[in-house]
Amino acid sequence: MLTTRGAVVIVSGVFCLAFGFSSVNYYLVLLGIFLILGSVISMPYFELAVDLDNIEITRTIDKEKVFAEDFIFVTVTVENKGRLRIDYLEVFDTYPEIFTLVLGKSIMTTRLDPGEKKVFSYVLQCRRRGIHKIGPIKLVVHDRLGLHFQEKQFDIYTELLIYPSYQDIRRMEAMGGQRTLGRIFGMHKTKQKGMGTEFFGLRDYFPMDEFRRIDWKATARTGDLMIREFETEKNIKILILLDTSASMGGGLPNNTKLDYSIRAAVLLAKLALERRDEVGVVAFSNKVHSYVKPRMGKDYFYRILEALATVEPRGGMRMMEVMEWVLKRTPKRSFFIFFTDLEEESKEVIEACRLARAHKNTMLVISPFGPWFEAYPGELTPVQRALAEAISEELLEHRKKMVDELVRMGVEVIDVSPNDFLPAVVSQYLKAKKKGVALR
Amino acid sequence: MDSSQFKLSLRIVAAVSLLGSLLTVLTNVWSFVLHEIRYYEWSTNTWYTFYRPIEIWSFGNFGVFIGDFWRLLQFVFTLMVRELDKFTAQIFTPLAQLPFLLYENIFLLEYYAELFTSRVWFYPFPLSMLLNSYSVEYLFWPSLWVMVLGDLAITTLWSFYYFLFPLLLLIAIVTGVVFVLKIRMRYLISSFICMQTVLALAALTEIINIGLPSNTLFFSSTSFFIELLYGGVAGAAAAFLTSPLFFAALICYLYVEIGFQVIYMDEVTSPALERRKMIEQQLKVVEEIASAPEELATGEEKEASGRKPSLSEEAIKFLRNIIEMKVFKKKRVEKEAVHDIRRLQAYVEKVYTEIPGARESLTAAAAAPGFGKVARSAVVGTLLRLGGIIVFSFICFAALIALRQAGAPLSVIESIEVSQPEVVLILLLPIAFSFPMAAFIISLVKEYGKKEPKKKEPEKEAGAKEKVE
Repeated sequence: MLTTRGAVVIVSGVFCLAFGFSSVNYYLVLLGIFLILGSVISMPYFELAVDLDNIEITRTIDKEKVFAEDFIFVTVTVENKGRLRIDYLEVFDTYPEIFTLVLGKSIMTTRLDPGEKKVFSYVLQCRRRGIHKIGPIKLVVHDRLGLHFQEKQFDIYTELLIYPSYQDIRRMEAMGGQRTLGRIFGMHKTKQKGMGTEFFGLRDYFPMDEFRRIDWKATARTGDLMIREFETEKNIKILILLDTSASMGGGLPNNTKLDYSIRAAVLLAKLALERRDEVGVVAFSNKVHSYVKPRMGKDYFYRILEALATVEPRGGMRMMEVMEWVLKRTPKRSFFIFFTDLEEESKEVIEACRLARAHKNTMLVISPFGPWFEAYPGELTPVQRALAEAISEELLEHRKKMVDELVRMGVEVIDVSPNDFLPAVVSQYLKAKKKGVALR
Repeated sequence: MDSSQFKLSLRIVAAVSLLGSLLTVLTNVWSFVLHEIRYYEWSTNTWYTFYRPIEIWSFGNFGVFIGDFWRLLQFVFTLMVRELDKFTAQIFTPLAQLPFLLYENIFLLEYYAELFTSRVWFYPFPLSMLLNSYSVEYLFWPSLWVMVLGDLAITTLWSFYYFLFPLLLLIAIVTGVVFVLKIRMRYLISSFICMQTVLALAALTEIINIGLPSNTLFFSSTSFFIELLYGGVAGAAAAFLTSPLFFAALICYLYVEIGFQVIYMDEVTSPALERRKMIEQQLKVVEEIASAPEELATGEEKEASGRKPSLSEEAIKFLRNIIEMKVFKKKRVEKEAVHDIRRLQAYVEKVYTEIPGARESLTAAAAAPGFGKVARSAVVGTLLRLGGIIVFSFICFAALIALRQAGAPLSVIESIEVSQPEVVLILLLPIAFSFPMAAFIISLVKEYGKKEPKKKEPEKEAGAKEKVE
């Protein structure tokens, strides 16, 4: 096919010919012939030399599962398996818009001799969780003068599973490392003496106490035998119920109620698993999208991440059906942490919570309040502001009734905003541990 | 040879081809811009003719152009004003009837009214008088009208050419120099088109007999045409290849061809080098930012954790505040960017250690082909292309010989049309179309060849599986 450059040359040739004919100017006629022939003469050779099927392309990535905001190293290899040289080759590796090219280029311009292999790579960053595909690869081959071209799209796709962001956990770990957790969240771990590893206190020695528990320093200090006591570590079963109905998609891009809920769920899961609690997750709207039974162990964390990675806000909510389904599969006396904006049918939600309570489960509702998430970053006009306030008031009214009902049946409801979402969730978890909820 | 030396050599090649093309145009156009001066010497009773170059850089010719332009403008105004006057007359005629309605018997008023509405009074209306130097009546005289317009058109075109010539030449030189410096396609094309337009306009102006001499370089190579008309193939080829006409066209074409080759060499080698430079710079910036001291974020965290709205009557007030609050504050965004860059640096270092050849692939160091290889193939390619173009051009030009060889009737061979330049189309069109046709046939054959092995693929795979088992 002719490129724009080729078309320009041909048009110039025709222009010269026309002027040459009309002015009986043989110079212009000859120049016109040169230009026209020059633009078409290499067409057969180009067609012969370029066989895009002889080009082999592969794409590799350094890891197939990454956390959101992590980096991916993409390497593209191009090999000419044909017998003729390709003078001018352009390789375009395409990726979805949600990826950001942070280093390098996803394009390469080169020349490929027969059997030659060229490699280029670039670094991408993805801020959005889910399953994403990198690809396809587009190949454009020009002739040496750029007058003709051939292009082909190679449907080579590389699938990537992007987990929710790990940043909150990193931050928490950094702070936890400095023993500042309590200062940040205003709460320490539950203290119940027993067989744990965390120090609880000292007491006098009684016969039958294990000698290895004697604190020799304290004994030397007081002159009496002293015993070290440790916290009891009883694990609880936590089931994170995540409402993924369409209303949870409200909010700023990448900062919706669902996004915050997922971040909080990830943080909670990590925290609980590290404390040897059993954690499971169920994401649902009008049906169950993913379910991970409460289990213990650090590796289990990735199963939870995978379940949360592909969740999207869509559909309505059938809470009652879902709750019945979940209760059949989840042990009694579990701690249900339910992330929902409470914007759905109140009766069904209340009934579902009642059912969960009837199975002796402890229930905590973490509720992101819509208008706090949908706050417009710019100035609002008086009309917009009035409308926003009116909607918010109506929502508040609806929620108040619902919350009152839930509180009456012993379900704690916490309203959260983007500012305090994560600290509130962690704080509630630690409070629950202190209280000893859902212990058998 | 390193990249800077290679680029310099590309520029030198481009500059040489530009210079060759410019010289060709200038030397050929020079005879066009010679001004024929004839004067009669009374003492010797003879006419003398001599040529001197038009003072193209003086304001004199520009002044002539402006003068002609002004005359043309006046002419347009005259036409417009005439229509305007007619329109005005249509309005004023009924107004002039008003006095008759009021004072029917007053002769004096009738006289003035008639005078007011008459053509004599109206047509040399002050507006017409002010805006044009021609009488409106004068325009109704057809021969004069044609004469004025024809004269204006010719003189304007002539002046227009003399005005455009230096302008086009200037653009051609400037864009040509920019092409040499930047090696970009658009500059090459614009300089080439400007150069050729100088010649084309010169040729065009000659059609309408402005007085340009016709014994230019292009038309002096009569031997070639004689050979074409009466000679054989060898003689015609020799005459064609040695004619100044051929050299002039070849040099100008070479400018385009070499220009394209230079652009190709630059486009194939530069991106890889630029990429390497860019990535090295990016990494340097990343390192700089990563090593900069970070502001501690504890203050913000405290603020974030301290806010806790409650669902009381105060909630609405809080809501109002939160609605107006800007969620993403600039500082936070900047801080996140710095944090990301630090992570990126750590990630790149990890990749460099874990993936062999990661640094080379990121900079695509291997993508840049060898300068020598590229230059060699470009020279060979250019020579082959040029050879083909020259051969086919000669065949097109020697259409008469081909016709004679093909046994065309004498009525065709000796017709006046055969001596016209349009005769080249007889062979140019089939030859020009035969290349895309050949390419099309090749692609068809290739497609056909690919379909064959596809049928055998499942058998091969099955065979392979069996072997594995």
